[in-house]
Amino acid sequence: MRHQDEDGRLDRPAIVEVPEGLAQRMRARGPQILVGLAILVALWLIWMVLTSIAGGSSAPSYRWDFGMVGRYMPVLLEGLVMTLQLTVVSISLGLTLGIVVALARLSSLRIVRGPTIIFIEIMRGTPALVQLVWVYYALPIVTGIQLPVFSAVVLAFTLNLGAFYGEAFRAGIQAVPREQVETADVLGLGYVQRMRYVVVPQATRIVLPVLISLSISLFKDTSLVSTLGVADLMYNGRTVSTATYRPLEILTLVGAIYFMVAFPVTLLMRRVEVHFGRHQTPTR
Amino acid sequence: MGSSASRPPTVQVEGLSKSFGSLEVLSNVDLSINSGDALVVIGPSGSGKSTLCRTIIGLEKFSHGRIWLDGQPFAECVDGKHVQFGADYRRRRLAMGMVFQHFTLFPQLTVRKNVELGPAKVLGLAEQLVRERAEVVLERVGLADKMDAFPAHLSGGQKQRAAIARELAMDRRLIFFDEVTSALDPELVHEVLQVMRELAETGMTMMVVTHEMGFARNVANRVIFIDQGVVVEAGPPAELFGNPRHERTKTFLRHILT
Repeated sequence: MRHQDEDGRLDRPAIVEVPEGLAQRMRARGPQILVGLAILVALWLIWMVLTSIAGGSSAPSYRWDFGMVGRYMPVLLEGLVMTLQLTVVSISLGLTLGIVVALARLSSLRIVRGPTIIFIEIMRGTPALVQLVWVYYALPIVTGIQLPVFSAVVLAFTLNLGAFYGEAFRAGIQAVPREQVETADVLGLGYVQRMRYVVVPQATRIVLPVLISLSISLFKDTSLVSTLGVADLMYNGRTVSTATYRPLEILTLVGAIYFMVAFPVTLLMRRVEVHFGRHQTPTR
Repeated sequence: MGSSASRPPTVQVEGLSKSFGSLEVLSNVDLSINSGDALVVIGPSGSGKSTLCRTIIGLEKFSHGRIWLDGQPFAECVDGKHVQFGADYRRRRLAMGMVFQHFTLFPQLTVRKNVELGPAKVLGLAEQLVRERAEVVLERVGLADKMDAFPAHLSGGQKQRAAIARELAMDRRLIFFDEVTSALDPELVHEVLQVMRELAETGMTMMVVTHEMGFARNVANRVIFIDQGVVVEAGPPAELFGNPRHERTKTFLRHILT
């Protein structure tokens, strides 16, 4: 049954059959999978073509060497591990903070709401790099505590994400229909129980695509920590490319590695959008 | 029909008024809901029917008046001071339930879990008891085969019946129905009204805001006509429909029943 909500939006085209089963679902995903594969194949082809041409580039003294790159893969992958660690920890802490920020932003007490709004605007209005550097170099002067660099960047990312996730959660919470909160109240659920069992689960489903998008951005932004000497993928990439005098091969590979992690998650995001969209449909 | 004289009314409302700024939504409403009553509230849109229910159950504050629950003071507003009585206000309030017009079920939970949530988390009942209770009430409203389905896969009528089941699982002694069939496709209305009728016949106290005049005529023991926040007329359905006393009632019935 195809459903229309009150604004007339359809959750799906009215005539298309709902794909069931893995085979049909993969077929339905066909276009995206093909695009993804095409991009990867294109990159690989370009790579092979370029590395097979001897002295064919614009800088005659530059010799392409694919085999050399293989030796440094482990170092790059070590960097990737650091990147992933930063990403996962920052996202986890950021999500937790995000819910707190959203609830604080919606508080009826101005003394809670005010500082929260200021916090959000500062985090959204300053560059991530500036935040990273500030937390690492400037915060110790204020607090007297010098954080190790990993902790400092995680703190900075957590605060940054907390603000962005917080705004997303806020929009989600406000999008939960009033009757849901009232039903929960009539059922006898207190504020915390209402949030936990009724509001936040629905709010999260509503804004999940935004949360995933912010998370992908964070994954890419972790490359900024390379400027502070953290041995992530970018830092290791630059170190290796300098040491081997092969910036093009190495840095292109670094870019490809970031891409190969981020792109599937982007595809996942679309799938999630569709899957959770089903639960939101108000039926007549 | 009605209660014996010795038992206090389940709900007693006296002088209830509510204003939104300068707009008076409820004006000096007096009302008794006795145990076993099936009260139907009719009236034009914006007349305050829903507001009356929402105010009694505590979803909205009021500007003036008193409410008693089971003969004990429940809430009042005197000289602009709004008071909810007793540390156990919320616990006493659990005696009352409400089914809304839209978005009644929690979409991320199965029907079963929707019904189990209250008894488990609010009433604090044991897991086995909660499970059994859910199965019994869902059986009663005819949804035994939909227990593990998600609300998105239910028809509007099934969702409203599930919402009714959820209230039954909470041992309510009074249930408000706020235009629960108004948003349903016509062919789904009957199944919901049928459940409500059976509830009334087994003695559940209910206050029903509706446009379904057939239901009012056949099931209600008392009908109340509200217009612009004022209780214009009240009485047994035969009287109110057959022999309305006030001009406004007559006008309204003429429009509704054509």
